[in-house]
Amino acid sequence: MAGRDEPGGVTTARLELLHAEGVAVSVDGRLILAPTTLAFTRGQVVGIIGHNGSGKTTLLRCLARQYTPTAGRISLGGRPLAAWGARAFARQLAYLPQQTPASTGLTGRELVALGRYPWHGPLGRIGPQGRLAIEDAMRLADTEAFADRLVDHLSGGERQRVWIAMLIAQETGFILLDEPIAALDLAHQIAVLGVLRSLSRHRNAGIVLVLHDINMAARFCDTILALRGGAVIAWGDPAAIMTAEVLETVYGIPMRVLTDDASGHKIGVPV
Amino acid sequence: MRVSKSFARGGESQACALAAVLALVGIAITLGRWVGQVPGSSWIEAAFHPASGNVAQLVFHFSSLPRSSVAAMSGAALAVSGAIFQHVLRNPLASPVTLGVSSGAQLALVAATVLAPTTLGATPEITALAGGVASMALVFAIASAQGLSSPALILSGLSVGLLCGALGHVLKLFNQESLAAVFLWGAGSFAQDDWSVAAALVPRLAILTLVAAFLMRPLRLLGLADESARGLGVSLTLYRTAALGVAVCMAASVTAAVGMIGFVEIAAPLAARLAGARRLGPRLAIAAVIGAAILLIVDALVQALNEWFGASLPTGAATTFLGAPLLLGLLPRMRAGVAGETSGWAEAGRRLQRPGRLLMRLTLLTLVALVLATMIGRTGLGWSIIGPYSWSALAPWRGPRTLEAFAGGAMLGTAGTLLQRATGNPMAGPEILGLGAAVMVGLAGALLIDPAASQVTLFTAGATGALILLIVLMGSGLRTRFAPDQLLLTGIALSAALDAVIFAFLALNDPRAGVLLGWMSGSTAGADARSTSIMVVLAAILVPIGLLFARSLDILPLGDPLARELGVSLTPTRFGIMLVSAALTAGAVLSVGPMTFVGLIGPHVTGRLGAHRSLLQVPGAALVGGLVMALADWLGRIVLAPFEIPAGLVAALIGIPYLVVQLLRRVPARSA
Repeated sequence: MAGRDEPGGVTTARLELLHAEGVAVSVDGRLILAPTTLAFTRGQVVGIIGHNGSGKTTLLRCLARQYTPTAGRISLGGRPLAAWGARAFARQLAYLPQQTPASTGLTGRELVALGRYPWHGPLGRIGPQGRLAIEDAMRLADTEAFADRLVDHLSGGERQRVWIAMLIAQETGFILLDEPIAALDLAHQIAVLGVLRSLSRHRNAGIVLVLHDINMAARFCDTILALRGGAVIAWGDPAAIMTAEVLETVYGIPMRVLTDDASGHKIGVPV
Repeated sequence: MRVSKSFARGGESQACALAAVLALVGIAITLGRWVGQVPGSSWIEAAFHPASGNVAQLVFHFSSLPRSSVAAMSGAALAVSGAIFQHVLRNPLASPVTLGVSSGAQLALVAATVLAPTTLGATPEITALAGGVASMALVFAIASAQGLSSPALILSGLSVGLLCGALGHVLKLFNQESLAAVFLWGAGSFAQDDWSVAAALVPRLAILTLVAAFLMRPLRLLGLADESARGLGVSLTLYRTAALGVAVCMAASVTAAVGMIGFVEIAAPLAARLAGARRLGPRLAIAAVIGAAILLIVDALVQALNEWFGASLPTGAATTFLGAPLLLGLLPRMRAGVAGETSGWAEAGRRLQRPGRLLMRLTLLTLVALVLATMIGRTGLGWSIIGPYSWSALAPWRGPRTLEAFAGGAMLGTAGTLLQRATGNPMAGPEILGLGAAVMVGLAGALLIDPAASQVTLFTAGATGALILLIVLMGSGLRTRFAPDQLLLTGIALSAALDAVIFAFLALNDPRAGVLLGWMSGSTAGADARSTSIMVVLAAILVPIGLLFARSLDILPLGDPLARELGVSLTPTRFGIMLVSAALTAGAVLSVGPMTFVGLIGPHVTGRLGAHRSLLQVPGAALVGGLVMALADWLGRIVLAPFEIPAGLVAALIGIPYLVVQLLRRVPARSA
């Protein structure tokens, strides 16, 4: 169905594209994000890496319509972000901020159910399809055990998984996450990234996530986007990024790339 | 980084320049007024040896000159006092006003005037000082449970201030006539007719300044974190107490001499610091100059205005009124400076297995309470329970007021839930955010234009006042991303400014002041079938409208990014909630007054009972709020029978201690 135009409406093909053209952000005359042109498609996992203050979060917030860039335009499905209605946009794109509120007063299931708001709106009810989406999301994020527990009482990692379940229940084409695995233990880092990856494979979701761990990014992402000082310095598949030269440019310290004999995964380590 | 460094280096000269400019303006305006009174050539003669037959020279000598001296001295002393408070407590909003010192002083003076006019009332300075020190001690006692951390001090200071205010209102209500002078004092007046006040202030302030100078070196270390100061060998408690003692005495001396002069003590040191005065010594000096200049300028302007309109508006009301917007403007720049817990929605109580039952039980309880409150009464002769025979005779008298109190409480409970959830701030309530005061100002405005304004006009005027305040609050809150404590302090600042307007109204001896006081106390005694049915219908319309926002209200406490993420249209939703809250508060103030704190209690109690979802919390809070108000009305009717305490005041006396407990519970034990 790719590229097939349907008369009188946004085509499915166009909805597959989140497009940033010349997007730049400056605060008080200081350039946080240099003019950047990027296109994200559905069915792909894109990892954004870079040192602290390299503009990763800013880029993600612009894409998620949380922040209006000072220059350039971003469009989803060919329509500028500003032209989307609040709920219509939330049905297309979900976003998990770096910091989620520590206290919500809600149980796990209640929080995940909030992900259905874009579908039922302020006065509607959650239908059978919605309930199915909620159960499904909780299963995928391995959070069924927290359904009736208060989110406030969960550990940081457990809480993070509930929030990710909420995003999944939102059933959007794109899911943007800002350091989603920072608080998780190793096993759940692998599990969560695995879920996101399977969402991209089986439900054609476009995943964009900020990651700190270059090795996790190399292992789970289809494409890696490297930022430095507010500018994109590398963009390509993990094999192209995982070289000593590129990593050195990204992090500003000498790096070496090893290959794990058993799995064949590339591993970057500082020298 | 480079920017801030160069800013810090050039800062003190910048602050000096600001102080110099302000001082020049102040002096120029003052001199300008003097030229209008006495020609410049005879100033020296008029100042030292006024010709006894020359009225202009006498006025200059006995009124103008002492007035300006007192204004300048008060401004400087208040600024230094505030700067010490801010420094010692490491909180840019600490001041005699925010720590309850001024309200304590005022309550003591009101009490002395009423209870012992000949002895205590005759020595206002000592009375005010005693009251200020006592309320300060109470604040410290409450906050000591939390290790005297800065946020605990500020929060308990604010609550004690509110408590003093409520008690003051009780006294005023019973003694309206004798307290006109206290109102004037409460609003802060610089009017002088000899040199006695100035002469009394000079030695006091000189001694206190000297003590402050001696404390300077250890004080500098108090600005550091507790651990590092202790590491440097500073006895924290000793110096903190000594420094605050000096600051309290300074503020109390000024307060006793000229009354409540609001916000100079916050604004002047804050301005000095924001202009770049980093080091303590220069900051105190610069703040003193700025404070003196501010009061000189405002006082000159107020005098000119008063001459123009032939009024006698007190200067203190004007500074409070002018200071609040200034504070509002400065608040967003103090983002990192305000201590306190910044997150935290309602704590998790137990969860309900069957939420519907809670509403059923509350409804049942409400019905029983309403019937009992109507049945049980007390006369001068004793308790009386009316049976079926006298029901028809007495119910028409007791029924409406009980119902009106219930309707008012229900509206406040709903408004409180809406505001708490919309701001994500569990301490937000129509009373704390200053909405009650805004409604009062709206009512005062309506009365000014039309003394016989109808109920509908009054309601519209009150709701408009509340809506304007909410828009201002949300505007400033949005810029600071709704840091809860900041929003609270903004609301309290505005509330104080609006109170100043009401004070001025009362101080001008306007006959309509009595009507305003009646609303202020929240009396339901005048309720009749007509006024009650208006309130009941209003509640029956507005509470369900609030319920329409239930879904958004579940999401808004999660914060703006997540609300946006989930597709909530923030601006229209917020505006709708503000509109409904304003209307609810206006209705409630008309029936039970502005300061009941039921808007805080209702949602909290309902949350504790297990209602964490808006769909349950809104109606639950309405029922609980209504119950509390009906109970307050009943208590007010029987406790001092045959005399009556207005329902609003009873509710305040229940609500404020509750507020204190709540505030302290959410403050973390260690300094934030």
